[in-house]
Amino acid sequence: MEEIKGFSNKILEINLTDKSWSISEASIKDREMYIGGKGLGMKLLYDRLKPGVDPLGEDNILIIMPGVMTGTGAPCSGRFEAIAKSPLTGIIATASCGGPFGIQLKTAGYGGLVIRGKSAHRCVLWFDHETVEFLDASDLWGLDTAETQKLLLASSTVKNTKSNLLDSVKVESADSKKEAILAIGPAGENLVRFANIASGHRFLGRGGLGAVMGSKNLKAIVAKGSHYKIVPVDSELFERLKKKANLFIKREAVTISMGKVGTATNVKFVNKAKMLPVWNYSFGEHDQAFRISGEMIKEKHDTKLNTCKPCSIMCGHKGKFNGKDAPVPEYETLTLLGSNLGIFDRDAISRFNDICNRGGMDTISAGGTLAWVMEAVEKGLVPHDVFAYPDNSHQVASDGLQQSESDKSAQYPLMFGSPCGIEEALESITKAEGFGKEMGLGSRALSQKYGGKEFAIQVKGLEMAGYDPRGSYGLGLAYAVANRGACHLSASLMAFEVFLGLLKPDTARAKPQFVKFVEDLTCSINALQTCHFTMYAYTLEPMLTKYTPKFVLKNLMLWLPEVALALFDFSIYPAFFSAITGIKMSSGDFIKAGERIHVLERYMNTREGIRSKDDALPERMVMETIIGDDKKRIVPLKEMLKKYYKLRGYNSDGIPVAKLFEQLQIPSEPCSIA
Amino acid sequence: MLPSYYEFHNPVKIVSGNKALDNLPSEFETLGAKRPMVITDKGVSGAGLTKIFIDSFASSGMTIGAIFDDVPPDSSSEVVEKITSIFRQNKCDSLVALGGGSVIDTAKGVNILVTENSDDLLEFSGAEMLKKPMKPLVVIPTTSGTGSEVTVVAVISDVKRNLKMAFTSTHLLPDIALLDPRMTLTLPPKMTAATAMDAMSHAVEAYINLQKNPMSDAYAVAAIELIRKNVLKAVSDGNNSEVRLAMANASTMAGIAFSNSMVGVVHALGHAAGGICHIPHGVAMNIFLPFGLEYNMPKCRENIAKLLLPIAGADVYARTPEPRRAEQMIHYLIELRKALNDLCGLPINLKQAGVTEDHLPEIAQAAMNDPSLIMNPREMDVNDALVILKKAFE
Repeated sequence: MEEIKGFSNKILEINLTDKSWSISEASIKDREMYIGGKGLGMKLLYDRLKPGVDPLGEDNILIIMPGVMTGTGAPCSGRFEAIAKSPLTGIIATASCGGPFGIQLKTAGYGGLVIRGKSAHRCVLWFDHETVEFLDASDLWGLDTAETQKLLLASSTVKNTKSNLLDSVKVESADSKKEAILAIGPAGENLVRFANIASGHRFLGRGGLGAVMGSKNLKAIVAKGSHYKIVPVDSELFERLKKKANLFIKREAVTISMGKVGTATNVKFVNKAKMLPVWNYSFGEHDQAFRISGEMIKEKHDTKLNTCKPCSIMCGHKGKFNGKDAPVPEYETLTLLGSNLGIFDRDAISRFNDICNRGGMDTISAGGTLAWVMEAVEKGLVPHDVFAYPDNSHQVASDGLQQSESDKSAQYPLMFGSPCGIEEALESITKAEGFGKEMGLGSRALSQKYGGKEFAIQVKGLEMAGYDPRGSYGLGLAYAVANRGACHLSASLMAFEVFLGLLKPDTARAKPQFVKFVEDLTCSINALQTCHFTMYAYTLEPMLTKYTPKFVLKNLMLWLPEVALALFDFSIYPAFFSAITGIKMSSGDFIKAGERIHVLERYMNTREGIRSKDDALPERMVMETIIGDDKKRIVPLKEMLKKYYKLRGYNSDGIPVAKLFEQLQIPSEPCSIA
Repeated sequence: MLPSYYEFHNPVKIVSGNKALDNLPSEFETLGAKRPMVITDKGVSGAGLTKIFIDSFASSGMTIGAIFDDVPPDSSSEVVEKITSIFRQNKCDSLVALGGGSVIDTAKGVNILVTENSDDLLEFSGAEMLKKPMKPLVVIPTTSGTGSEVTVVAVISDVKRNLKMAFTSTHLLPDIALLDPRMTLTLPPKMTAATAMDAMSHAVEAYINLQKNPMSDAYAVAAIELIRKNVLKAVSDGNNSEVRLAMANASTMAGIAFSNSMVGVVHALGHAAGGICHIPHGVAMNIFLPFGLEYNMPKCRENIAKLLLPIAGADVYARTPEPRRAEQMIHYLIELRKALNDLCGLPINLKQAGVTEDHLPEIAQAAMNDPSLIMNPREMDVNDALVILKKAFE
């Protein structure tokens, strides 16, 4: 097997319009400045994407990037990134995924994949280390994400079968383990604005990148890799770092509980902190929340590991739901398709999850949109008879009770606390049928048409994740300023404010500093491309933070955040970069790269029209308190925002100033690559 | 709309509080009693509850006449006779029932014999066969479910004659129902859940059936609300006195409600399944309640809809469109059952409770003879009963 020492800067450039392909080279300087993954991908997009293009038009560009760590066997490195202009938000969308595609892309010899144009016919893109094929996808169109991947992997002669892919599926492929797929489901085909892209059982979830593929008539991408072995330049240092990283992961509390029960472990913390979304974020806790906790799921559903590969944290699980194997719904799914709709039935949530996964759409945005519809129907903004289902199946409750003939419930098919009609509604979204077609535009678009913006729980068009920011003010600021919209992963302050108890949650103090720091660190992590959850183990387990007494650390974080930030030792990340690439990188360089990536993304968004007015939270978060909240918390956003802009070097309208570009060495004009 | 005529009767004094037991000696004094006999069972004594009771008498100067702590799970005439004899030997003048349904019924039986100065319970079996005012009876429930502390009923088996004797009389009503959370703190989670759902079934059936009235409605609604707010905490955190006291109050209120308005198909099916397959009563109530409501829905949709308020709270009620409230009420009940099942494994269908499908016709037939059907809003025939049983099976 041939070796790639460190990284490949070869970028595979595809043009679907004329079915051409070429290979370009990313510069070493860009590699140093933007690392890889999300960072280098952002720079590639900056150099190629014109502002103002239609996200569903031919001119949008989809970029898929492995990270520097991808393919090296480093802990938690089975991840890759996708970037494009989002059809849901109209600004840049980035998504990270733990599926198998990233490793095959990288071991096919590529440091990135750029897809432009639009195919005249429905197609599958196939490539290996030396060639590219554009295959006919007529027979795959309409299939769900699981069926599509299964058929493509089962086909031994995909590469040579241009007429009918399904003819060749009966032959088991010896090469199938060397191939990995990116596939969209019907939601992507039907341009659902929050359609996602599947790779194995993991997803590029947010921002509607599946619809970008759909708009390009691109059903799937097959990467046949395993041609190159990715070898670190300094393998001795790399092995030492691996051991250290695994030790940190094994010792740290958050990663330990993620491994035991998965992200659903958060339910108990969030419910206790009274920030669990219930009934479209009207309530912050529920006495049945324990039913959807990770611990209860583990006890009742015979769970087993079902992780990204390679992984040392192992948060992914599967278990028995509705009598068969299914992924354990992630925390966000349990809340957005569960508690936020008033549903605590795990089997029902698993069924909703399955429809979204097979149909290929983001559970957070789907759930957030459903919650908006429920509230809008309740308030009379959306007529309750918009749902016209082809049969009466929705009249049977999930518990098997056939409702009586006199039942008028069909007139109110979607309402909080009832599973009735949810499965049909989700199906109708993926198929873009009836009112489902409108729901597929997301809650912002719906509220613009029908009213009810105040309870459309979204920022910049992206539906909010499952943590109510009124219980975590830092997260409130993070949601408001996150580049892709109401994203909980841009700066996961709830971890520091709630799970770890290190930062007082209901104060504005120190939040701008921590939001900026965590945003920058997250950008670098997504560029290096390792799991987000390593952040806790890698920053809290090194001696300096670990052995600083907790009360000292807490007080420093609150009162002297700059001093506290100096205690956070994240040097293992740049050390991995250096060991793999042979390029020296300090902690300072690493966090600066993160800042560069974040600011570049912000700048690209300002070119699309984003301003300070868009860094806003839903009215509910800043005007209303959670029902029953004795503390009467609302997010003090204005206060935090002003300070945050100053720290970031943005002007009062939220635009990065020229001086910042100089400091970060970001070219104010892209190197235009046609 | 008010019924054109109804009766409501509840003369039982309720003494409720965290240390309510401490007031018992003075309550006996008020009742004119000096030597109470305590009737309880091994489980209650083993859990240390009898000792708490005795301690509460220690500084009062009042003497406990006798203690009998061997009441079996099913009250029988033999035990009643044995206790009656001890009562007489020790010259007791009043009774304390410290326990669950069986202990309370046994105490009621003893009270019949000592009051009537008889040795044969059978001659008093039936409705309103008792004429004399009875000895003072204080009931201290150690479960929160049966409501026997406020009911006019006692059921006692005559093993020799293979009879199940039912007694109903207003004279059987205890003088005092004493609710002290210390008496239920040790109740295991599954038993807590089962008895709570027994109380829930009392309140819900009381609210929907034909003999309902404004007084029983008030107790039923208040009981359901208290159960909703406390049952999950009681099951998951049994040591919480506040929650235990709330559940004890809910159970008593539900008891007052159903003893005045009677119960319906849920109890009919529950009694039959209990008799044939020995399913604990609370477990049977938990299994049948949503199906019984669904069956009765065509006759009492509005009443079921109104129960959404206590079972789900004001926010849910207000935000649920009127046409959906009845279904939502049943849905909330189903979700509550699932939550209890998650917490302690309380069965939610007959199969989980160990019933085999071939027993269903027999249970359906037995249910047809149950007096609970008399006041049920919808007339049930054996085929209907079988349909409900099949739905409740799996």
